[in-house]
Amino acid sequence: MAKNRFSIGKAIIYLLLVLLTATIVLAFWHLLNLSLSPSHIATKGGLLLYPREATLDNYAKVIGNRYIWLGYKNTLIRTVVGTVLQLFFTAMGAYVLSKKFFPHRTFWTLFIVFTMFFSGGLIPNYLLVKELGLLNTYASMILPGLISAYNMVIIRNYFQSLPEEIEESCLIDGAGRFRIFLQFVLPLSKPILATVALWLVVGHWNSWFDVLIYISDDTKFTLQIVLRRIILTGSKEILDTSAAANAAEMESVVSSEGLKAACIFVTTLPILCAYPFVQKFFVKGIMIGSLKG
Amino acid sequence: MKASRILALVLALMMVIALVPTAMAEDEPVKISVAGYMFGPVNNDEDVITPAVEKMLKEKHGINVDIEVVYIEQGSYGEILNTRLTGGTAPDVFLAQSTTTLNTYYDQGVIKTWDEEFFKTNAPDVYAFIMGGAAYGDLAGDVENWKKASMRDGKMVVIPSFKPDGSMPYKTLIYRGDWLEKLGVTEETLPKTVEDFVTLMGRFTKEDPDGNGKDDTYGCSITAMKSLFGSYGLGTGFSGSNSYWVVRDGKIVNSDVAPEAKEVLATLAAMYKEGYIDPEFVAGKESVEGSYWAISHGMVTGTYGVSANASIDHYRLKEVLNDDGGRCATEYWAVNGADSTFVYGPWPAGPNGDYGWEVGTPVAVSESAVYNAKMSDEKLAVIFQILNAFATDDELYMLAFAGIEGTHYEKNEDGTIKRLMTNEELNAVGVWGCRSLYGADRAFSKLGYDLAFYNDKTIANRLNWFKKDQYNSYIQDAVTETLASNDLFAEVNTIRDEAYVAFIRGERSLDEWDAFVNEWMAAGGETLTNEANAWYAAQN
Repeated sequence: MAKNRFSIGKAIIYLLLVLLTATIVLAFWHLLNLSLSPSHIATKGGLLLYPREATLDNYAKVIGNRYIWLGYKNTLIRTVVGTVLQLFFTAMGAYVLSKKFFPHRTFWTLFIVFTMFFSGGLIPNYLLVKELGLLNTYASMILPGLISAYNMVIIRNYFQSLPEEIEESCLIDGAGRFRIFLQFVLPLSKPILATVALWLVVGHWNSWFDVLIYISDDTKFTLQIVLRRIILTGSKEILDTSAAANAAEMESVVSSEGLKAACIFVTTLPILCAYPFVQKFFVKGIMIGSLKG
Repeated sequence: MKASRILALVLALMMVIALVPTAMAEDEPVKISVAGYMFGPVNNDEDVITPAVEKMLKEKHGINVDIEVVYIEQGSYGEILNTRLTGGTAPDVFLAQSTTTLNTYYDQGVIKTWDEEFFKTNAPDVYAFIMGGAAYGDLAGDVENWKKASMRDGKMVVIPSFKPDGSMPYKTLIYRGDWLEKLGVTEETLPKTVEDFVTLMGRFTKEDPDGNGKDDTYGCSITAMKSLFGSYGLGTGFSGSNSYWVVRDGKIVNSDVAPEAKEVLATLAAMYKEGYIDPEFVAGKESVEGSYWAISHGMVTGTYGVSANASIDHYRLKEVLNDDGGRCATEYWAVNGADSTFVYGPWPAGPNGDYGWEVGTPVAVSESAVYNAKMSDEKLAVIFQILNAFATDDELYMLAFAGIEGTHYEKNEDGTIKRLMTNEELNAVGVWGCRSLYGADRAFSKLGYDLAFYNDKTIANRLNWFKKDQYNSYIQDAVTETLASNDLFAEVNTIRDEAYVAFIRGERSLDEWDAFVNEWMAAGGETLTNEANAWYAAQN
C-alpha cells in the first residue's frame, strides 16, 4: 500500500510526464486541425486547437495524387522486404559473434564495430551502387544498409544472455546449428528482434536520401520523396533576378499549408500506428540489450 | 553433324546482326538526355509531348533525335547532379544553377566549351537574336556584356539569356493599406526620405494603427530595414547573403564595411531603441520556415506595417491585372479580408538622394543549360541545331513550351496563354520536359520573348511601376561571383551578421565600428576586396 501513496515527488514526475506528452500530442493535434482547415485559416498561423472551419479538400487532393499511392507502394515494398532481410542477416551475423568458441571472436567483433566510426562517403557509395548495377532498383534502398553494426552488436548482446544449456540440449537431441538458430534462438529473442525491427521499419519508412541519389525512375519514388517535393516546393527563395520572369509560373506550384499538413498526416499515420503494438517488446528489448555488455 | 549445323546457323545469324547497325547508322537517332527545371517527373506512359517534339524535329527540320527527359528534384539539384557527374551518369544537358556553380563546373572540366563560330554556324538565328539585342533590339547595348558573361578563357561555356526585367529591383516595399488609412497617409504622402520613413515607423509603433488598443505593432520588418542600406547607395546581404560591391573613389568596397553602412546602422539602432523594430527581427515573422518564401507573415498578419520581402509580382493590383493577385496578395486578402488593401511604396532616399534595392543585369547566365563535357562535338552541334529549330519554328516552340492547344493550354485574346493543368500535371505529360533545349525563360525567339516578358501581365505591371520617375535610380551593381576566394564569404558574412545585430540592438556601440571592419578584413574580407579590385581594374 505504501507504494501507491501520494507524494509530491511523484506528482511532479507525473506533471512533467504530462507536459512532455503534451509537447508531442499538441503538435500532432495542431497538424490534424491544420490539415482540416481551408487555406485562409491555415495561413493565419497560430496554434489550432480545433478546426475553425472543417474541410476535407486537402485530403481529397492528397488522395487524388497518384504519386502518393505509388509512393505508398514503394515504401511498403522497401519497408517489408528491407526489414525482413536486414533483420535476418543481422541476426545471423550476431549469432555467430555471440558464440564464445568462434575463432578470433573479439577481433571480428571489433572489426565490425570499427565500421561504426567511419563512412565511405556519398560519392564512393554512389559509385559502388552504380558499379553493382543497382541504380534504379529496390535493392539500392536495401542492400547498402543490409547489416547495421550497431544493431548487430545489440542483438549479439542479447543472444549472449541466452543460456548456453538450451542449445547444448538441442544439440544432443540432434538439431543442427541452423535449426537451433531458427527454432530456438530467434523465438527466444522476440523482444530484441521486435525492437530492432521497429527501428528498421521506421528507418525505412522515413528514409529518403538514398532514393534521392540512387533512383531516377519516378515509378520507384518512395513516399518521403513525394512528401518532400510537396512540402519543400516554394519554401526557399531559389529565384534570382534572372528567374523572376517565372515568378507567376512558380507560384502556382506552391502547396498550401493545409495541403502540406494533410500530406504529413497521411504519410506519418501508418508508422505512428505501428508503435503501440510493438511497445511491450520495446521496453523489454532495450533494457536487456543494453544491460548485458 | 547436328551440332555443326546449329553452329553454322548461329554464325550466319551473328553476321546478319553485325551488319544491321552499319546499315542502319544513317537512321540511328542521336540520343540526348536533358534535365531541365521541372516541377515533377515525366510519366513515360503519359508523355505525349516528347514523342511529338521528336517527330516534328525529324519531319520539319530533318533532325533525328531521341530525347530522354531526366527529372532531378529541384531542392537537391546540385547535390544529385554532382553525384551523377562523378558516377558518370549525368545527363547530356543540365543546369548550372548559379554563376558560382557554372564556374565550378568549368574549373572541374565537366562541361563542354566551344568556339563562338561553332555556335554561330549551328544556331545562326539564336546567334543573330542575341547579337541584335534580342527581339526588340532594346538590349543591343548589352551585347558585349553577354559575350563576357558566357565565355571562359575565350571559349563559350553557356548561352546567356536576355531579360528585360533583369535590371529592375526585384523587391518592392509593400505597406499595409489599412494602417496607412488609419494614420491618414496616402500614396502621395508615403515617405520618400529616410527621415520620413523613420517617422512613419514610429507612428506604426506608437499610434495603434490596427486599432485594437494594444501596443502590439512594430514599424518594419527586416527586409524593409535592409532597404535603408539602399538609401545610402549600398546593397546589403545582411542576414545570410553576400553583399554588393560598390565603387568609392575609384576603388571597390564591400557594402558591409563601407562607411555609409555605419550611418545606416546608427539609424536602425535609434529605431530599435525607440521600439520601432521587433526585438526578434532576425528570426522574427518575416519568412517562416516551410511556407512560401516571399510571404511576410508579420506584415500579412498585422505585426509590421511594411515589408520588402516580396516583389510586386507577388502582390499584383486587382485594377491593373484583374487576376488572382499573386501568391502573397492571395494570402493577404485571405487573412485581412477581400477588401483589404496594400500599397507599393517608394524606396526612401538618403542624404545623397540614393535609394533602391540591389539589381541585376539584363544579361544572365545563372540557371542556364550547360553541356556534359563527355559529349562529342557532333552531338553538341545537333543540340544547337535543335535550339535553332525552336527559335525559328513557333509551332514547335509552342508544342514543347505549352503542349497541345485545347488540351494543355488556351490562347487568350491578348496573346498570353492560359494553362489548363497544374504545372506538375503538365510536366507529367511532357510539357517543359525539353525546356533546357529550347530555352524556356531564356527566350530565343520573338514569340518566346513575348510570352515570357512582354505579354506577361506581371512583367507589364512591373514595367509600368518602375517606369515612374521617382523610382528610376538604382544602385549600380559591381558584384561579381567570379572571385577566386568566393568561399570566404561564408565566414565574413557570419561576422557581419553577428556584428550588425549587436550594433542594431545596442549590445555593441558603434564606436567599435573600426574594430568590426578590422575583424571583417582579417576574416577574409581583405582578400576578397583585393580580388574584387583586381577584377574591377581589369574591367576598366
